[in-house]
Amino acid sequence: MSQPPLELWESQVRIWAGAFPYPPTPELAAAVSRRLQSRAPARRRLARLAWALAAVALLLAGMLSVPPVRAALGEWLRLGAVRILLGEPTPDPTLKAPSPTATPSPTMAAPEALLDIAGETSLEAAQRAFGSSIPLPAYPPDLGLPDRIFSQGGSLGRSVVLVWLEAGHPEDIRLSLHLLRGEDMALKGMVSLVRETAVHGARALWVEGEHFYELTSGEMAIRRLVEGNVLIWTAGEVTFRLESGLPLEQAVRVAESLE
Amino acid sequence: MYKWRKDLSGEEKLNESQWIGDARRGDGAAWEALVRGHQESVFRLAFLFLGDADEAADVAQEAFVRAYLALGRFDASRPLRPWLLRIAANLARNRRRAAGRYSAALQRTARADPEAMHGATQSRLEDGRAANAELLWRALRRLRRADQEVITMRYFLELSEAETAQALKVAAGTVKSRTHRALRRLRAVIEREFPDLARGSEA
Repeated sequence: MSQPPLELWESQVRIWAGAFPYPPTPELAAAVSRRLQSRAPARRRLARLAWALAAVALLLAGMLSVPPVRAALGEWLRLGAVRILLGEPTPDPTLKAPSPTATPSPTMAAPEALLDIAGETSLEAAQRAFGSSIPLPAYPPDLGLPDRIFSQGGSLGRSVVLVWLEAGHPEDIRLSLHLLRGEDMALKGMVSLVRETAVHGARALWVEGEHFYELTSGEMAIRRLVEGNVLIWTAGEVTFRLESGLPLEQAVRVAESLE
Repeated sequence: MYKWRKDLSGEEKLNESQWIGDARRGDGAAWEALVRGHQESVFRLAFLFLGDADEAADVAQEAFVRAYLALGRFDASRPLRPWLLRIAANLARNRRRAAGRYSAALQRTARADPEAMHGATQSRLEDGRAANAELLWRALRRLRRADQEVITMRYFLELSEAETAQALKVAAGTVKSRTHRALRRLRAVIEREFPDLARGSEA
């Protein structure tokens, strides 16, 4: 059986594709408009939510190849407000892992994208809520101010998330810096690698690979799939997480440029 | 500040650059007009990626919200549609990857049950052309992501090479070579796994 020339095959594909039975296109304009008009009031409502920062864990699915962390599987790593649980690989990352704390675990929604989390605000408002000046990275030199700022918190802790987007591409995150102040936060998920490193000579953790990140209260939860690399370090009472696609050396350079 | 103005007629011919300028100045009615002008392409792209009409509607809506918020950084000398499709494609890709919806949709459609897809399709599936198109779509799902995306843009959404390049953020020459390779791989999948469709192409 001889194949038709690729040009004829292309024409056939074009004809088939042109007859695809799409469902009816919904009317989106009004819904988009409503969402845009409600953004400011929504931010105020969300800012009033008393987030209690609770359990977060990090389940390691891949192998801890270089250099191995000191804790064994099933033990805790702790750095500042972040707790990391080294666990057995989880076959299905959408399944909920056992809660590492006695706190009743809230129902988990499907993972959220970082830009979908609640509490969007301005840098000035985030600084006021956080109670101290928020340091910004001076490296890379073209980074500038963050494009999106989120602030969440309650009586037990507070977090601020700063997001820098790729120029002209609002769906592409260049990097995000998370500032956490609280007693009992954690990460949870699947990663391929974690190792110890240093920021300004102090202990830091470096996590590579997909994992779930949870920030939960008694009633609600944020659950995100982190796809980049994460550098975790502390300065005073604040724990920092830097999410990016940067290699370790570059991430440390960003961390050490905070001013 | 986003303001909604009631006096913009939906029947006005799409004057994209003017409406983009108005939308940037906070004119919500201008953005609504742009949404109406592009919602079909954006929704269809999301549907092709996700295989679920409700999910596709959510992604399309989110794409228009994000695009509006980033409109100040959009290069108005370029067409809007590829930029919107790029936003929607990334959102759909993230959604199916994060939640496993994509594999669930694949499993559903792999059951070869037309009713599992969506109700509106059922009557049209009796049309042989629509049935072939759906088989083509299933075969497309077997390809790697980059191949799926370029075939979707070029043949399902009928974008030009230049528009596809902008939507995929690659050079026009890359679109041409990627399309060529993807068509070859698609043909191989159809000949191997969809023999009925392959025979149809020889008729």
